[in-house]
Amino acid sequence: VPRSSPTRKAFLTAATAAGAGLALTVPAQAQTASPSPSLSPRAKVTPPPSASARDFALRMRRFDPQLSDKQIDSIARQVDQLGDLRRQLRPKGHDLANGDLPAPQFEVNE
Amino acid sequence: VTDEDIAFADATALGEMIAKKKVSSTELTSLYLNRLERYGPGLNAVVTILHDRAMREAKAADAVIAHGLRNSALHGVPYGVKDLLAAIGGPTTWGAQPYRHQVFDYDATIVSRLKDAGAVLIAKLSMVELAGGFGYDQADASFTGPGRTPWNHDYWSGGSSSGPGAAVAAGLVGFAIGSETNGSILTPSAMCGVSGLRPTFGRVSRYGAMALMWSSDKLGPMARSARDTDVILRTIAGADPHDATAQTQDFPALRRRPRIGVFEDARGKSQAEVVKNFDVSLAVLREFADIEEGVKLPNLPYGAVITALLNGECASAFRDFIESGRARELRCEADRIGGYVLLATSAVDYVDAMRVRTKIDRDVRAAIEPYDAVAFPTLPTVAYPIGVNFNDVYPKAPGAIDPVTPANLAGIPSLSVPNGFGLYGLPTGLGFVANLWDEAKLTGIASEYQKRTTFHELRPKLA
Repeated sequence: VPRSSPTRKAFLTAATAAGAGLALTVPAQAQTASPSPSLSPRAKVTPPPSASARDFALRMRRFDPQLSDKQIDSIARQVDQLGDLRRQLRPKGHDLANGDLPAPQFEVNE
Repeated sequence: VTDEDIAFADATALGEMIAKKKVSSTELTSLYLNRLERYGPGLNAVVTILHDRAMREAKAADAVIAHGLRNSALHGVPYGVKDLLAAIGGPTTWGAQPYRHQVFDYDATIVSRLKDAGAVLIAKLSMVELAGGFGYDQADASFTGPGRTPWNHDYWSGGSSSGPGAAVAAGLVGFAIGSETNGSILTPSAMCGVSGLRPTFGRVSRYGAMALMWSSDKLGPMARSARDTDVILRTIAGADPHDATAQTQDFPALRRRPRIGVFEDARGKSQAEVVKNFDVSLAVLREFADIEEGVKLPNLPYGAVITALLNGECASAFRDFIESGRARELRCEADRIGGYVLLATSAVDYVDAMRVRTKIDRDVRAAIEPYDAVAFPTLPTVAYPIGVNFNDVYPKAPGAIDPVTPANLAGIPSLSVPNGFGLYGLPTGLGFVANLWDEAKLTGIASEYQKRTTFHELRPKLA
């Protein structure tokens, strides 16, 4: 998932490529208002997945021994993309301070 | 008045017909059951038709009417639910082959409330498998096959509430209940040309519904008019001891000329017909509301936040299923491996996302707060062609500003109504978001819009 998808469809492309599993998932996905452009995965020359991602993917065969090599490769690539979430969640200018609290159980309140 | 006229009447009108004994609930239920059997398969809109339960509830509704009473405005009106809601009388499949024979021995709270209101449950309607949680990337992602919009069967009915959208648009039910985590009511509503309302998070109990993302799952009405969505929402809303997030809140209504914002760059790179219909819609809204362009959404990483939260919560909700290896039985190839990727989500990323969400919650609501509603084209395109990967459809119309994810993360309500037609005879949608608990403002504005337009009354030609 790119840090800042400039369009709805770019986000969808990235999210599905990352196995983001979006409930809707039509083009009407998230957009971010961030001006920083980023390339969709399809626009990149994709390197082979990292060794750690490939190890993770191979471990999934304990759940489904029938996973093909192609599926293992796809899982590994998506896991690599997930690894970029940290940077996306803390884009430049949007640092999280030590005291910034999470919403431990999301509720809506006035 | 023909059967066709009755089948396409909105739920409010159907309730009035029943109350005035112009038609009985039993007759109406038989009409819709026949239409479900005749047209449902061609649209891939139906999972299970609940014949026995439907006729039993219809007879009970008629018995009350015979005593000169009715439980609510929806008394005797037949409806369907997305097949992620537990209901006695049939399986609850979550749209997925591995759950095809899953049975619950209780009704979801929303089904119980509609039963108490006298409404008649007649069908479990199709949906994208596991509500799309595993990352589907094409329309053919349900064991019932790709949902088809009644306006053009070569095109998708949207997801993940595919069946509710198609069944309402085709006049197969009086109304339907869908669910939304991140667009799953608004999208099929736009693609099928129906009125869909995603309530404020916590307005409606989720007890008995499949959990996808606890912190964002919502249930809401999909119907043939905005006024219906108001009536249905008031019927299903309220606190529930089985769902700690559900609250009883008022429905503050508009008592002055509405002030409607328009998101900056709302039109963006949308299809030309979508832009044209949106601009015409704004002209209609100006007849009774003040319109202000240029509402800015805060600059925050919405995409990354929804990804981290959905991944983490969905992986937890379906951990046993993922680790069972049965994802291989899912329909869509992306779904067969998507669950494993979810397991790789970092706990730190999840918590970071919850921390950013606190800002989203605050800043998105602040951006919306000055307005009674903010408008946008529900989708930048018409429905997608079936058989084409989502990444490859309509490359020249990627859209622009999209408030669907920000609004879902902030828990605020949204509504889509049909506002015209675009390519291939397919409908387009006019969307609104509003402040917390302001659904009545949305339905009020949309109802005024529908008094001035007829798109919600048009009927698709069914094969």
